[in-house]
Amino acid sequence: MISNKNTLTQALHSAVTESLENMFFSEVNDVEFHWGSVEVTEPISGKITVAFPKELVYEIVHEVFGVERNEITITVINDIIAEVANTVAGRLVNELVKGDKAFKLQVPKTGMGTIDVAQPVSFINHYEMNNKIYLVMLEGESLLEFQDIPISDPLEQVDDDTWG
Amino acid sequence: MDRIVIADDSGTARMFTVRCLEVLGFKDTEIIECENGAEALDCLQKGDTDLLITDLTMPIMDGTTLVKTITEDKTINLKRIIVVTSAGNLAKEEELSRYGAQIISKPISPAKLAEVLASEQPDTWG
Repeated sequence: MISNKNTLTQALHSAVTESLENMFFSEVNDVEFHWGSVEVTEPISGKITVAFPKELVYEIVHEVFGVERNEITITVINDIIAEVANTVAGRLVNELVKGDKAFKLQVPKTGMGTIDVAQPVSFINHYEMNNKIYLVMLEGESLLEFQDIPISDPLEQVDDDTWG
Repeated sequence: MDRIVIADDSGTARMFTVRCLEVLGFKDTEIIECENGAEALDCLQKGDTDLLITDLTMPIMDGTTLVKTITEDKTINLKRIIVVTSAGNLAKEEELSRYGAQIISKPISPAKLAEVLASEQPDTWG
């Protein structure tokens, strides 16, 4: 996920590694991520990306497919990451649009290393599986507008007359 | 069931579906895996099939086109269509149910598949 392609990411990489190595006397390493992205185009627009550290991907592929580590190919990794991204994106958008509108998902894209962030508005959440952190990132203004909508409380919807 | 056709461009998704079928006891059933709608259509035209389980978003021929084509092709003998999709919602479900298809939202599971198989089959074509 860390890119050394531009000044900002190079500076961030140096700042993080030098700071933590000096503060905690431990080596700090980049984590190589495998990622999958799905764009949603209707009725809202945005992009959903899942990014798994390489070690976690290998564990998942081994557990799901029963493939030994040295037999895992990039094709298999990309296929499973794409399927995860596609499934997460579908469930997320369905939840947000409340199932009453048709929506369009583009074919998933996959990659390794740097995640291509095309839109300046983004939101990242972190999850854990097998004691390893993975990321889910959302991009797109109309998708992120849902951050401003409070979750409805079922208790607030109870009719006062019910209590007599 | 004697013959089931699975259409999905993702090998992972096909594998999950096959596992679900195995869990439900379809171990002696002929299960044919296809990578797109066109391949699946070809398989369906070549033999009587009890069940088609298809994705929606696929290259060459997508799932919606596949389902529509099947309903128009009177030479195909297919008993049931299940669409497994990440883009499943009420609007899509209503559209596909007009063609006699039933919907399962991804990820597929043995419980979801069993529930749909136990439900009454839509009587739309055939």
